[in-house]
Amino acid sequence: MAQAQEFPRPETFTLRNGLQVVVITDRRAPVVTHMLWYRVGGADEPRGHSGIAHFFEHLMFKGTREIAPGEFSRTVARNGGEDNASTSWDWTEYYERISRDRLELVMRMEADRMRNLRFTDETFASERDVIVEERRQRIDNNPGAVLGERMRAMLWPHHPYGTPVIGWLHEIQSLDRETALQFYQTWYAPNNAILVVAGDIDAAELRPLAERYYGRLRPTRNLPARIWVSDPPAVGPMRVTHRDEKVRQPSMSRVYRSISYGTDTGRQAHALDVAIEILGGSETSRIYRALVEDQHIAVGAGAGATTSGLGGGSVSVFATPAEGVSLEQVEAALDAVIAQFLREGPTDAELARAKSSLAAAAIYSRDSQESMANVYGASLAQGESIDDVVNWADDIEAVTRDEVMTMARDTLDINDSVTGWLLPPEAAQ
Amino acid sequence: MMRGIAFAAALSALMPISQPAFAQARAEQTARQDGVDVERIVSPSGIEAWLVSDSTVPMIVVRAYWRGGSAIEPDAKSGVTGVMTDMLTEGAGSMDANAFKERLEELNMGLGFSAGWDGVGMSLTTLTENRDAAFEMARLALFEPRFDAAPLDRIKRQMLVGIRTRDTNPSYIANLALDNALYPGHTYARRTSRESVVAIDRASLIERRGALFNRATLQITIVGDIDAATAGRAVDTMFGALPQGAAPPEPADVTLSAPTPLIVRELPQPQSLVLFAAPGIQDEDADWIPLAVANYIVGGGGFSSRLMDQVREQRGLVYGIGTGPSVRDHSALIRGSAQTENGDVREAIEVTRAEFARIYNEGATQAEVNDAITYLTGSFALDLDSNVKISSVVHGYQTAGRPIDYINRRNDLIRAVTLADVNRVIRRLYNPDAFTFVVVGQPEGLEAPAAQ
Repeated sequence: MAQAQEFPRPETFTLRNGLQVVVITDRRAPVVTHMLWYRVGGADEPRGHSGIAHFFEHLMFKGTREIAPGEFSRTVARNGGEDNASTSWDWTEYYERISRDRLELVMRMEADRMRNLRFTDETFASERDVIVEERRQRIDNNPGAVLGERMRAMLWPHHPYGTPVIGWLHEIQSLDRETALQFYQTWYAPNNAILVVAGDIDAAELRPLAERYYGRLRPTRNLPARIWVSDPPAVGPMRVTHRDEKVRQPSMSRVYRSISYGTDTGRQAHALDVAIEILGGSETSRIYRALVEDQHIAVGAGAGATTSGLGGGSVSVFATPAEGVSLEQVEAALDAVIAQFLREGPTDAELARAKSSLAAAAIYSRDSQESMANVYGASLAQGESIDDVVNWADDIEAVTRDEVMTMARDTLDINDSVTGWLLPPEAAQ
Repeated sequence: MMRGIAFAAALSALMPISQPAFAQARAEQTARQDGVDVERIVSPSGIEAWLVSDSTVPMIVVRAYWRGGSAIEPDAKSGVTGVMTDMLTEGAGSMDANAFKERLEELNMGLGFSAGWDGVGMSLTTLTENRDAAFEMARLALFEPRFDAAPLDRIKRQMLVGIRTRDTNPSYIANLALDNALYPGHTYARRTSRESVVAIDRASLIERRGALFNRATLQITIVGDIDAATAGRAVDTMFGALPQGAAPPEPADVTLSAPTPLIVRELPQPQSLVLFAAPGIQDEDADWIPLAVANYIVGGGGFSSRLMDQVREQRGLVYGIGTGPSVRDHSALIRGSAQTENGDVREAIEVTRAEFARIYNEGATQAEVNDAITYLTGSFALDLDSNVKISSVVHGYQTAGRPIDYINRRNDLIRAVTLADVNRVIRRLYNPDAFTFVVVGQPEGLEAPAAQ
């Protein structure tokens, strides 16, 4: 029903030191979103130092010769702005959102900390405590997150995607300052970064500022290639059970290894996204309708595709049984839905609706300069091009039924999967 | 792995669903050169709406709100208002639940109804090219819901699982403990139960729908690619058939209990959740604007607040800590939250109390007030850079009873706040002895109340 609407194409240029610059103009409000994306993340960590990429994201707020510890965020706030940062396996990203007339301030500070960071041993130790609390809050307090972390480690037994971005607790606790600094000096460089500025500005206005603040930064010579170890071949279905006192409701999930936009050719990742949307992406999907609405054996069920990775992706399927229904029962029903889907494929109406739903996300992201900056920054950091982003909705529309079926059959292979059950302690069952 | 995400999540968890007050705490006037132009329109059938017309992006957002929510539902059917609003998009007219949802997907549109303690709301997002069909979907949901047995039974099954799992949910446990300490017996302290969920039937959905949806308390905001005349017709399409009706009954105002000694609820996990609360003020109070400044300084200002500096930055005790005003129609609190390792709970609470005491006794500084004002006024434009955000801010002001041009006056009100105003509010609302603390986890060393 809704045609994929033209996605705005940003302006781009590259500085002589290798910094790639993307400008997305949206003049509705006199504000800008200024983001710096580094092509480095958890997957680039030296073995034994898990969590260092994320740790470094925190340390970037600890000051330089010009900026005292903690002053970075305070200065941004004092100027009516907001700032934050995040880390994934593939990238580390820093952003400020601020009034257009304060853009130079944040450009100066962001450029400064790309090469001139300084912090004390005390700061390093105190921030390590903060990160341990962050890990407890995100993972250790949550039995489902603990299980998910172990399932990833089984799905990628050797590839760095099997290591949590936040790091294993014992390795966070032993991270040292020298390793952190070496990581920084290697990867934080203009020739390993993408500057994305969205909002009340265009490339002609931004270019002189980018030259002034980022242009004089020296690149890293012999920047390492991001080559990651790969996994041995799968050896058949893997299973794991995790029990915890806090679990009142058993649930199950399964993850499969898959291709991603970073590793595919042609429209494979697009086709996989469409396939998984049909299988389990909404309340009109195969899995939800069968398990929750028709058979009444689950209270929640679905599937999701994580196809954005530079080094590969994954697909998950999950179900939470209704009261009185066992995990065996719900998993068998889930397998039956998947088998039927792989046999019959989608109907034309399912195919059209899935494409429409996926396209809607792209269309509505145009409403937000922040979303647009995120889409372009993350896509470029994960090995895609501006054209890939601009054409994404059209490419989704072009996906054929055969492409969907090929990707679904290649990916939903039980022999390359890990199934996890989350249960209460045995005595409590 | 976002550095500040837990802070944002912790605070939003404290905010009631349909409560616009917190947005206001941060929201000052627009910094757009020419302001946000909010226009009052009246539909052909006489229904008023607020409109922000902007055709930059080919989309339209509609938000509607009716006073009267879960706080006034019958005890024996606790939860019925939320089930009723969920069921509006589970089949309408000739479409059953699945057909209705498939139609929403075909139209690339979003449509949802939700229930809060004090009211029920509708949110619709559509592309301009599909707008008439989208408005018709909203009309169907509102006037011809089917309330079929199959989706009703499904939602009840889902709620029953939720009732079982909430017993180990730290946030649920902490909020319930706090509610029961501060206003025991009040409807805001009530929760669903197995019995009340089982008792929800089709007749009770029909009854709640009839009781809450009328013209008497309806407030509508429309933002995006639509002109005034078209918006007026759209209002009549969606809401024109509503009866005039009358405002529903109101629950009693909360009478807050005296602060209690520290409350501990055991839960096996390595990190404890700490919630704390003290009496607050309503958003029509004259100190509401100074409170926004005071709260920014104490615990609302992200990495710049005193609590974040002392508890996280200086001591590494938490990943996030924050405070904020929490206002419902019949209660007003200052609330805060933090999460810390079981062994550090005592110290985290002591430092938090000490920071309350320090600012209560010594006051804020002029520099802090200046910084807070600069942030609160300057950052407001960041809340107004998309249609979705503008609709949220404007609708928040509308449902809070603000005048239509408030969005363009707010920064002047903030700029007028003095150090004396801030210190008056701190003496009024940040007395360390006024706070009740709740801990959920396995905290160590709290046998003797850490509070004293």
